[in-house]
Amino acid sequence: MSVQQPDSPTGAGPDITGVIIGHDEGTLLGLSLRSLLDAAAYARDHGLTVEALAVLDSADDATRAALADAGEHDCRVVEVAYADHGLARNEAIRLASGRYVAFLDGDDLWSENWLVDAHAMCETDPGRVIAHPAINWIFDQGSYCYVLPDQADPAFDPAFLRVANAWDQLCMAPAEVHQRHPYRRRELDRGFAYLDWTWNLETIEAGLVHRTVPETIHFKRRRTSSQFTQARANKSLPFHSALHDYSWWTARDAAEAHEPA
Amino acid sequence: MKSFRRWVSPSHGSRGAESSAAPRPTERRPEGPDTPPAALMELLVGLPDARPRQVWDRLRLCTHPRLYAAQLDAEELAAYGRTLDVDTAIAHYLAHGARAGKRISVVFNPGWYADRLTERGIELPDGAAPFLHWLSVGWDERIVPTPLFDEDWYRAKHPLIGHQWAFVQYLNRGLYEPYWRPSPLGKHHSGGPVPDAADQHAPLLLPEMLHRAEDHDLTRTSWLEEGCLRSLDMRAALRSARMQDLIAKAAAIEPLVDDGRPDDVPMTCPPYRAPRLYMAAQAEAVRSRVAATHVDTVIVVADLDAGTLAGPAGLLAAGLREAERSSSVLLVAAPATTATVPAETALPAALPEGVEALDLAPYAQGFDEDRRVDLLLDLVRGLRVDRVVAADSTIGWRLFAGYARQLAEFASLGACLSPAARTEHGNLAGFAVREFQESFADLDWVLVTTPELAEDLTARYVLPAASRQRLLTAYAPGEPRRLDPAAVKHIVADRERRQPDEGAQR
Repeated sequence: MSVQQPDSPTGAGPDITGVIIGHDEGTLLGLSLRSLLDAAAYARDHGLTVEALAVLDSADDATRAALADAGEHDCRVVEVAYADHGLARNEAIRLASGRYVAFLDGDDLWSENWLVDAHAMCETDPGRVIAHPAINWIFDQGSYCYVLPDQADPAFDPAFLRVANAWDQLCMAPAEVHQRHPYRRRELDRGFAYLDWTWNLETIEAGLVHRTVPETIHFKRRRTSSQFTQARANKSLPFHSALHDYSWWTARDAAEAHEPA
Repeated sequence: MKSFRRWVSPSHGSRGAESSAAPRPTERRPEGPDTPPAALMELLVGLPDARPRQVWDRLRLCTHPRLYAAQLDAEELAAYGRTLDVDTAIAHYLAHGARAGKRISVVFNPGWYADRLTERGIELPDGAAPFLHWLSVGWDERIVPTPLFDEDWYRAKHPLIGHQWAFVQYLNRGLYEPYWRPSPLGKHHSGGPVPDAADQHAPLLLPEMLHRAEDHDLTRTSWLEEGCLRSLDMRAALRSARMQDLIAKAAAIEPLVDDGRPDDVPMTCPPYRAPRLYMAAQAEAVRSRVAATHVDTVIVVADLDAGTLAGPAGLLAAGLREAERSSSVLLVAAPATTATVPAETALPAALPEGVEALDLAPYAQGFDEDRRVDLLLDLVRGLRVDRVVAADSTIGWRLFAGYARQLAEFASLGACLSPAARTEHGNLAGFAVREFQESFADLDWVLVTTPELAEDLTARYVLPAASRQRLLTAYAPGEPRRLDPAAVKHIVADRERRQPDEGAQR
């Protein structure tokens, strides 16, 4: 498999590493690569440097074959055998050289402006902002739209995170944030899954802010079988977080009561 | 960007108006006085074409007393014994409310209706009450006066409603039965049936409409309606040229992105409209009500009546307080169903000393079973409970059936099981059979109320010795109203055994 060095004309590492995580998507993975390459080209047109990285986790032959020539498009391909979304993402973080890392699942697409606009959003408060698209556009086996909440919206109450998830993993965040808050391994036998939900709880507890980027879209393919559906059927929960404890909320309420108006 | 041939053409679904050849809508004739009252006749003076008898029938059909009562002050409500029925709500509305601009129907949003009139070029006569105008003119024009209902969506999703005006069907049934989904923005309620909802003229969406009522002018809008309006704004934003361009570019790569996708796909927009948004708010309300950050033991019961306190749950609460002097015990009533207007149960005066009680019913209005369980889950996780006990409670057992593995990582789990809980078919342990089977392996103990029940379970499941030891007989031999000290000792020791692991697990 061809391995390309990141595009780093400044010598300081690229601005963004765009990561595709692949498993068993086969030919569909090529569509996601196409989307990533288009978004990277759009970003370069706007003065950003982008590294393309694909991590294939326990991939089948068709998926591996789909990226056989990815190197010709300056996309580095790495294979791992975790069979776990979280650990595959952590490996991608370890390999990424960009200041920011943006994840794309292997059968989804970004709107072409995602990298540029998400980068701009992250730069509004460097090191503290995690960027999410404005809309998840679900397609294929089912159609609906999920308008993601912005944590800075006064109407948003993070207590929502106690009973439901708000954001998926397809975000852009500073690489250092990912390094400080690695994803957990799924433990279905213990009844814990929902890596994205758990990560959101941990990052909010750490004081990071989940923002949405206006006029950006993630096109997410709904499939009948996914880790989400497995987790739901298994009655899984996110890993325990301080945000599940009433004491965290009591402390927050007290802190807010003492904040100057 | 590379361009690709688009080999699947988008063909958006038709949203055309209902055929003008459709027959007149079926209007249920609501029970009540046949003759329109004089007060209504006076209000219809400005609407010369109105047919009073028809307006009267429609008014009765669309009246929702709880919404109206929420706009009255305490003094006004006191005159009606604090609750209004359909007749008293209408009488007050016709005498005072209509002129004051109060709302008597959840399906009428004056701002939304005004916009629809403008679209149709219809003017509201000076002095006419907008709601009465809708009941006469707007209804005949088939104007839907609320953002909560999408007529085309409803008809497409529920084709069996036939040719009647879909909105009338919604008024008659959809408002009161949980499976009718009025809009791509959601059901507007928490999924559970409320058996007396139609009789009480209490639509299932009322809890969400009255949520944070103090923050909204209920004569014009509500938390629910504002959420829908914000969501509709977001849907409109999707139609902007910029967003359409981004969608088209993605579809140029993957045609399935926009393959025949209609405009009105379901949409979820937290923090404005989302399936568990209201539940999250109720979970916060429970937290505020409890006003504690830790409780040692939560005992989940079906209700908080005197029988519960006299039974194993009450005796266990008292027994634990006696055995663990500094410990805290919370009795939580988690009913499996709710009536239309569940008020918090008056707490029994005979609560054992040091035992607190919480009724979840007011916080779980209209919740389906999953949400009831999850509300309870949020409570026991939030309180970092050391011990959770399901005492002949359906929701308690369901909590264990779903989440015993996760709860067992930080809490001792126990259950009280009575032979009284048999099904009508005489099956042992009644409703809890499946839940017992699913969660027994994770339970530290099961307190059974009779030795015969313990023997029956032992024989039925051929329980090995280790499992038999987890079956505790509740009552002391010959003392049916006193908890067996040996059982209490076992339960206390079990918690003490677990505590060294607590920090590591959490």
